[in-house]
Amino acid sequence: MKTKLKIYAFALSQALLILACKPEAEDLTAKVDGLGGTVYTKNTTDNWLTDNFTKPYNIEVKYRWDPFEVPLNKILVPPYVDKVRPTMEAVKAIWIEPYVKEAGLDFIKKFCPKQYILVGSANWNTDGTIILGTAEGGRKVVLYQINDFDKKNIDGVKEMLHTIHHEFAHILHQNVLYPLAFKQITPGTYTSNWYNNTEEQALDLGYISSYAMSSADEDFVEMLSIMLVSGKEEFDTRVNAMTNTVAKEALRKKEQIVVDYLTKTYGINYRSLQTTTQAAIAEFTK
Amino acid sequence: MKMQKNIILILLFSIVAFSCEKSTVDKLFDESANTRAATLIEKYKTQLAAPQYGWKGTYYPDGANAGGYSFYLKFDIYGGLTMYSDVAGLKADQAFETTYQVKSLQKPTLIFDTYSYLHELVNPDYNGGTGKSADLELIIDSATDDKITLTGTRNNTEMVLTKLSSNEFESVKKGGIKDIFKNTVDLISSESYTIINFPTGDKADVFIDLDTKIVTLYFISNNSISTKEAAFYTTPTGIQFRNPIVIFGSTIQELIWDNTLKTYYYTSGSNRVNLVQSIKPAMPFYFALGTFFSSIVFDPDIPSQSTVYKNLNAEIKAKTIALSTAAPVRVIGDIYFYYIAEDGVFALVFDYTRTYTDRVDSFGGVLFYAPVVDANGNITFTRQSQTATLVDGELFSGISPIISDGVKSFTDILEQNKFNWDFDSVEPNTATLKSIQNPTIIIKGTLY
Repeated sequence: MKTKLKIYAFALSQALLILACKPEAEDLTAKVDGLGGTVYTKNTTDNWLTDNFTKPYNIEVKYRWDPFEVPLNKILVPPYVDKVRPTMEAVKAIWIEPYVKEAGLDFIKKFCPKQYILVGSANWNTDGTIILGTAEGGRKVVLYQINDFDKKNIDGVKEMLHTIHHEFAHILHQNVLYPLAFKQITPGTYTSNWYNNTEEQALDLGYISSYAMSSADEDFVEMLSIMLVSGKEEFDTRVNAMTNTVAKEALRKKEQIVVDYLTKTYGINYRSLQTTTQAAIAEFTK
Repeated sequence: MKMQKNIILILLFSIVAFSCEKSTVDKLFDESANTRAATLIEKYKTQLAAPQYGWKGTYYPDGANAGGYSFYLKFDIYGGLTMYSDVAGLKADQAFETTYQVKSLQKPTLIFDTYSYLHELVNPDYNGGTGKSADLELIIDSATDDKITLTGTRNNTEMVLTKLSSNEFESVKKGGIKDIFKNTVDLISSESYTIINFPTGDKADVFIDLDTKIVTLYFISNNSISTKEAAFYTTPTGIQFRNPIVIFGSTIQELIWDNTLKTYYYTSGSNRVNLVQSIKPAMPFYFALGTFFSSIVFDPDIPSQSTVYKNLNAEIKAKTIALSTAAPVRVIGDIYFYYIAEDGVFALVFDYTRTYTDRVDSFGGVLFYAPVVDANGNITFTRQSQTATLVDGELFSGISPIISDGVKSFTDILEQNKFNWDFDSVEPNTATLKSIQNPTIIIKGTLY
């Protein structure tokens, strides 16, 4: 009996300890916009983004200024509201829809970056060069210079879509690595000083772009994205015109690995994806 | 054993009793920081949206060290914003529909969160990555129903919102700022100079820079050039200075546009002083040389150009062609004096071309002259070495003998005469050289 009393007393003391000292509850978590975070009245652009990106693909598209989504040390401006929809229409038509057609809806839902941040100006470096897009950990993509977007400017549209396809290709190889043989095609010329090479010099060393020289990963995603955005015909014309047979052969080997990788790893017919992407660019910019 | 258990029990109870002892510290605020920030933000939002005609905002970027801008802002409670601004210049009659947020960053902050006129000042694409050192996030320092003061988070832009009257709102909507902008552009792009004749008899030249939004007054003080400047923004009535310019007994806070007289005026005390347009600056010629202009182009086509010079010009052109022994011939174009202030010398330049079948090559033959001004203000020119070394390096390499011979009748006149040199009395923005020894020799030149 005494023991029981003691047990009750102990239990009571514990209960008092827990309940009496419960601190005042205060929610300090930062809420996501639209889910209890920043509240604003949705305009037609917001509704279009919700219907075309958030609902079908679980992608958040942010264009309203949020200093913590962009590099804090850079001077940047938010985009014109009017430029948001045309830009994202291009993203949808030239990136999402070709993949949906060739790889299925579930594929894009599974692998797409979950957040797009749109910025009006370019991202200026101190050396006067500009950054057009960045990706963080396969989750977030920041697109710059949205205010200059013009759907009739084919080169501009291709440049932006190149950035998106480039970043998406990173996600693909981060999930399943490409064959190691790729790294052995031009092993000695990868360099952190890639920007000292012109596009022609890079091509002569077996790279599709000078940035591809920065590492094997960048080389792989540059091949995958540039071949998609430029198309097979343009790629072939460029490679066939090369006089350096060693570099030519290197590019053809890289091309073959990219094509095989998408087929074997994700069951995507790269040639068909290339054709679909080209048709999408032509249709969008016409 | 029993004792030990009792001790444990006593300890446990004491933990409960002491651990929950009420804090003896008095809370400074009844509510948490989060709740207080949220309440304040709601209050600011309500205040921003309250005025029927919105707010007039003065905006000085870069810690208020730069020129100013005016904004006319009508906020709605849903995050929408209608904006007019003098940033838009000749399009200042067009409203920009944009958006805003009031958010707690380090402090409650007004954020212009999608592109608008204001972002034209921040945009890094305009200045190689820096923009105009302006801000799109501004901390709300204080707010009443009539006035809100804000400070930019990055560049300390100073912004003050004051409640707008219906009159001013209507005149902005009807294009009042655009009209001021257009009238000012017309004024400063005309060939005339804008001058203030102060009630004291003093004079100043007024330069209004619509790009930097700085107005500068040039005047003579203690026999040298002095300047006073003020940052400004435009309103539907004129140009409002950030700080008044106090000069020659006048205090100038605002230049007000008179649409009948097509000029600005200011009021100081009971005086109204109209700014006047003149074909020449208030600044005397030798002070203005090197400050307001540094080139004098001896153009034969100036309407009132002297016959003597017209003939001289034609003569040296013909002679140079005749002297050109090898084709293609040298054809003289502009002839001008360029004043190199650092060296105190004039470069006399003869532009000429040689036309080949596939191209036109341009050249400049150059002679250097040192000026001497006597007590009466008359000037003589002494030829210097053809390859003078200047402060900024060797500017020109000299002159071809053919050009030198071809223009000799002109350089002889220049070197053998003493001249009276001043602004022309009939042509705008023109200077006239008059020979003292031979009064028929008159040479006019356009100033740049």
